[in-house]
Amino acid sequence: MIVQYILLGVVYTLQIIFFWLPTVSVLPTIGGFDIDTYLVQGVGYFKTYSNAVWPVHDVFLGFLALLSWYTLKMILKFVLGHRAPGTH
Amino acid sequence: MCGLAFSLVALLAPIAALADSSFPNCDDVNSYTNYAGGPIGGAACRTGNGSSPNGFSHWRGQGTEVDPGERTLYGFDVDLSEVSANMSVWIANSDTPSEGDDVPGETLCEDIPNVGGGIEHITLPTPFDFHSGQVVRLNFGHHADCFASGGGNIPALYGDSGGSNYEFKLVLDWTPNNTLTRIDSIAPANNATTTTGVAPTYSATGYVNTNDFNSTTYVRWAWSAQNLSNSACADVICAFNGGNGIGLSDTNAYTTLLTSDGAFSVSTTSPVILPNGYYNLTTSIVQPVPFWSTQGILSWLGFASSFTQLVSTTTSFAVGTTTPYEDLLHSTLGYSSNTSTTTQAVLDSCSPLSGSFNIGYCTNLLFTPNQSDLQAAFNTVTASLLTRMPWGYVTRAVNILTSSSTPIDLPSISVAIPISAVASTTLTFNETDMLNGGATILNNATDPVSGKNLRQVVEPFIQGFIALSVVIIIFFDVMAMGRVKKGKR
Repeated sequence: MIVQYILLGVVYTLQIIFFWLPTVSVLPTIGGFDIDTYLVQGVGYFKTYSNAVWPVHDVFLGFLALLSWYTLKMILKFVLGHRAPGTH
Repeated sequence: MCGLAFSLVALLAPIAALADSSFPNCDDVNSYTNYAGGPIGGAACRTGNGSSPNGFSHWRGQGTEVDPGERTLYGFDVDLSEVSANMSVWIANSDTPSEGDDVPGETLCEDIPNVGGGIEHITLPTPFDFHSGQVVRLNFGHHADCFASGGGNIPALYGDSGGSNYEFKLVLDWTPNNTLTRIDSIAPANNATTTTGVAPTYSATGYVNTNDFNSTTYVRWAWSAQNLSNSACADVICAFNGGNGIGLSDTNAYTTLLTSDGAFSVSTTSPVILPNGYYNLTTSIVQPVPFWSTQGILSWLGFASSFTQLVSTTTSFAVGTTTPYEDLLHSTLGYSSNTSTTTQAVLDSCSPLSGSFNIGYCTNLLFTPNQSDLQAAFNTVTASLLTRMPWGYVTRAVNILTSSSTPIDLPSISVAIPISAVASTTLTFNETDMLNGGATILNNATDPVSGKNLRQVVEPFIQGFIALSVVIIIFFDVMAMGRVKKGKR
């Protein structure tokens, strides 16, 4: 009960702090280049391709796993600074 | 002349076939001698007749199908060209698996209009469900008989009682038989309460597809306490692990071997009497993996299950009475959304004047957030905070990359090939069709020994190679971390 009140308090506070920021639902268009449309289309093409050529899906998962590892390292370096392993 | 006649016959044959296409093979099935046996469902048709075709006082017709499987009857086509009085159909299902002495379960009486009007499609006002193991009976008879005594059974006439026979024809409009491997029902049902001090009986009904079945197919019930205090396990690890354990027959799991594919209905009694409280029950259809397989070897070390799970569903049940904290935990885990009792539970547990004062429950109730409140807070953050600029762009990009984009056909490529000095022909390559066609060909080519297609044979090797590559890269990255870089101390 106490935790949920704290949680609601945090949520309402954040809403008050950021209420003035505009809400966005699509990616911007820069110089006539509609990033949102092209990204949706590109990902749609990729999904069609990976549905037919299924090894692409496995390679993509492997890439995501590797990306997660490098992200973890970056977070460790950010949090621990020079005390992170491999930084000295 | 002969050629002309042959041409006419050839021309008219498809038309004649088209005219009778609603009742395929009607002439070679089920002449009316005894209605027992023989299918009346699916695409087949049933011929029936009755006595006294002009009297209709006791016109009868009956068809029975034994165990059509899990199906829904939406309606039927019936040829009424030889019937000239008001008719009704009486539809019943029965759990008694024999014809003649079956006891009707659910019944339906439906008028059939436009007798004498040829083929009519009758749509039932509400779809009529039949379950595996049931007998299906359709009786056609006089209107008054059907609705007499509240829609009772129309007395069936077995055999010809002397009048001239005539036929009616029938094609039932079934849904396709559901042959997916599945679990239909479980006991104890979700959120049910079982009796204190009695070992609960677990049961399950469902269906195993022929292609999924082998001689080591089990139904597995695994249970775990939602709260450590009511765990039936001897240790903490068992309590956490037992319900979704990795062994086929863990301490908190019980299995029953299925002897055949198709519909099943199995039950077993828990080997232990469970203490009061809430329990999670994971019911699944499983098959043990070979001990020499990759998963089998990993299961020795406790890193993987020793079985493959075909389908699984998790429910919850309670034993006896539960405490307020257990009720809250039950709600927090998402098994119920009963928040109305939460405040009262806090008051009861935290008030020294209350008869159910308990400082432990009180503390837990005060600090453990409710599932529905957590969900509401999360939804608010997602809807109103994560969409604000500039991080709203990140949210949108993640949405596109994960779920919101659908597969789009690849663009076609057109090539103009000159065929003369002044003309050319254009060839268009549809990349999506080419890719899908190639994939279909590869998937259809199967190994004659194992019956597996190229993907099923090759994919484990590709996945293993990629997984090994990722592990090696991370391994060498970790090894390099401890080294002192050149030029640094």
